[in-house]
Amino acid sequence: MRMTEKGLKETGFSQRFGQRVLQWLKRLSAVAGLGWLVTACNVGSTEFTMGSDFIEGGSTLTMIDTFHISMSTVLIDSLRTSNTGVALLGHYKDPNFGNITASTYFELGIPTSFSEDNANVYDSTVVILRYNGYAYGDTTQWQTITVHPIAHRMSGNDWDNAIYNNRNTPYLPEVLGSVRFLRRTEASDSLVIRMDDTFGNDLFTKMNDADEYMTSNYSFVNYFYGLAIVPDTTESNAIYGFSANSTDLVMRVYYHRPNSSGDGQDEYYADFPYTTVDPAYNRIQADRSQTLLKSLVTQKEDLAASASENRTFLQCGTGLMTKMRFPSLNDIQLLNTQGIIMKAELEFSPIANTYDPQALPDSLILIETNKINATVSTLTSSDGTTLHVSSSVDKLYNENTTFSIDITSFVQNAFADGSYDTENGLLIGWGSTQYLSRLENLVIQADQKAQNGPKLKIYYMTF
Amino acid sequence: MKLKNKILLLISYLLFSISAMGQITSSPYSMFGAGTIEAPGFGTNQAMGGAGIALPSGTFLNNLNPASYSGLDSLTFLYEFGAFLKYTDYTSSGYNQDRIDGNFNYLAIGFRFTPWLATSFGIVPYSSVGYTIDTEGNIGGTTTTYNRNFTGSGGINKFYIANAFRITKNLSVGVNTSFLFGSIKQVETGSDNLSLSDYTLTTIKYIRNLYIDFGLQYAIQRGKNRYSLGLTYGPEVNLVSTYDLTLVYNSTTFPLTYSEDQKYLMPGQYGVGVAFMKGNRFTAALDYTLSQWSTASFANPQIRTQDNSRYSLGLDYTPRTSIIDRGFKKMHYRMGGFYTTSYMIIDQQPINSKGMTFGIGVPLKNNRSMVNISLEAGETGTTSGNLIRERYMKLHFNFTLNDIWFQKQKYY
Repeated sequence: MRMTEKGLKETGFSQRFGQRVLQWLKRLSAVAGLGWLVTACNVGSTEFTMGSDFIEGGSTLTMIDTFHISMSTVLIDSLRTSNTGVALLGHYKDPNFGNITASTYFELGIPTSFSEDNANVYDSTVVILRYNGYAYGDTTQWQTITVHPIAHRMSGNDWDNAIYNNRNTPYLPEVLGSVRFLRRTEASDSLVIRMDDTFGNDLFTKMNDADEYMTSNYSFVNYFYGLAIVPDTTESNAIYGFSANSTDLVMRVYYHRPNSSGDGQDEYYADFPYTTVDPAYNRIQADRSQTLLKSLVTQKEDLAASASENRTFLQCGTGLMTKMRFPSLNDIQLLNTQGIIMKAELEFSPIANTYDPQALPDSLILIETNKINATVSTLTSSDGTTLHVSSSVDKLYNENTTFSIDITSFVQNAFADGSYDTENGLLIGWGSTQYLSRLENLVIQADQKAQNGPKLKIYYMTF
Repeated sequence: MKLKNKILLLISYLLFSISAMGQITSSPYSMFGAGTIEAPGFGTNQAMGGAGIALPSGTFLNNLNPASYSGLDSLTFLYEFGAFLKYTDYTSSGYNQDRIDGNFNYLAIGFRFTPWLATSFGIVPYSSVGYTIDTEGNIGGTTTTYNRNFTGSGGINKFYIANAFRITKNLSVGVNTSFLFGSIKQVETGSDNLSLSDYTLTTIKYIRNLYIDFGLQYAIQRGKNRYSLGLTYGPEVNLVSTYDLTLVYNSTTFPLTYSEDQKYLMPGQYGVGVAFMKGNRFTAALDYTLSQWSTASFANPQIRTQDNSRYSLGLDYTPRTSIIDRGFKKMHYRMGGFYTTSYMIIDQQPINSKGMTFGIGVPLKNNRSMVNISLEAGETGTTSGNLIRERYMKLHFNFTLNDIWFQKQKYY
């Protein structure tokens, strides 16, 4: 007994205190369990709709479009127009873009099926061109095209085996054939040019004699260098596209021989098809001497919009692109320190009544460029796909058509090296190689004070 | 047995701490600053309109004034536990909605070490945040509008240890050391924006802060009558210690920083209270508290701040205090009222609060512990200026558990 009492005494204050606390906590846990049920009692809707004046915290979104955009026209002096699958032909006069002449150059291969026979008799030769559906200009005008033999064997560039739009391939003055035509309806799907018979007969004879030049396309192009088809530049006002491939573009030689029963003759033809032993290409010449762009001759020297009535130009096929520089872009870094750039959007518009809403280039892209107007790299989205300019076309009035493109990644990457070099910029170009065989164009409003002037819209968020 | 006790302790602690983090408020006004500032005081104070700066702790813990703990009896171990159930009716021009919330509130323990030193510690809410607000945003510089949705959650809790020192027979002083902890989260979602993709902006502000406030009580006993005066003071402190700000936009997460320091101000506070007690039968308390909110500022320039005043008055009456009395005669009947002027002015509109309280205290069998239930009916805000008026009925449940220490006793 005494020992126990002594022991109790020695436990002291702290142990008894601890026991009491635990005792109470035990009871409390029962109460807490009850209270736990109460916790579930958050019932009812409490979504409030309030004016934005009320809001505390959160973000502020702002758009600024006062960044200066310096615009100019750039001439891309080497457009690869070889082996595009299109033969572009015609002549077109445009007050903005000058006199445009498209001529096409291609080689012929040997016929795939031909049986030599002493009884074969040459009849005639034609070149058949099949419309690919593309036409630019006034197709109600008569057009004359002539066919000439190419003077020397064609060859691609040493470095890329391609031929550019500005290559002048000499051809002989002799006219192998010509046609004056008007494409009256969509139903007329091809154009036939009657060829010189001396020329046709020569090839026919070589074929019938199984001449060594006729053993392969490679040997044949050493004998006959190909055809140059060029438009007459005095009367025509349209440029047409034709399919350039071995089935649609052929030179056809008609011949006959007596039939086996001896009571008549069988008609035959042999096709010398379009071939690309050496590159075939379209030469696209633009004489801009009567336009605002007359001083634009080299790619390195662009023509400021101020020198061309505050407008810039873009034309596929002839290599006109519009360059945009952003002299005040570095100011964006100020925004970036305060918040975050959510989006950068570039907007530009064609000048009212300079365009046909049905014939706007629909595959415009942006290409990063530098001081010497080189095409450095195509602007892509973060996942690597090419960004395309989207358009909202005013089909009703031809006045409020606007192009826009999200250039957020360009703006964000512009400062990767600290600050943006204001000599760098963006070229508005075309994103599809098929545009190399097209002449769609834009006359772009370069005056930022104009209602439809170019704008760089920066959306940024501050906190 | 010991292990079992430890487990129970752990469970009750976890239960409380989990729920303490949960949503205990639902008010659009909790969007501002640290949220809705919870009225201090446990069950007895709550039933008395929140008044009691001059009241001693004794039959209950009075955490309105740290000096009050000197009033604890020796050998007494007081335990306060509270929960509430709140029904709120929200009215704005054009619509009306309601909601029920409920949760634990607080947990506190108080006891006296020596005749001159008494202590209390516990966890109480300081503020709470809970809202979902839809509003329209506008991209500055354009006419483009978009939908903005804000949800807020979280709150600040206070773990405190208070010590009261009896300086003389009449004078006590107290110091209350608190650790403020918690987080306040705001999620903003922008959607239906023609120019931009949807975004989610999440801000979590973490609060970990030590806070010290002070109190003084002076009482004079004249026969059965006790006249007392209480003073409290708390300095101003910024509560935010760190924050996370992240933007999720176009499936990319951007960690961001604010351009300005983030602040939730806990304003400097001055409280004065007077009380009159007639034995155990009757208590009256009148408080005035001034909070210096004018030094605080909110990010929204439409919102001004001003010093705010809280007036509260409470009465406590019990018909019989004798041990032999039974039933209703032994119960405490309490009532009170309060009026709080706004510390923020939104668009010229002050957000005042007022309310009435009615409560009963039911003694338990041991005659010392008590169950307190009170009903608070109040109103906050206004419908003018397209704002929201909240009218609520709040049921407070409180157990004041009073144990006599170091003395063998049977409980239930």
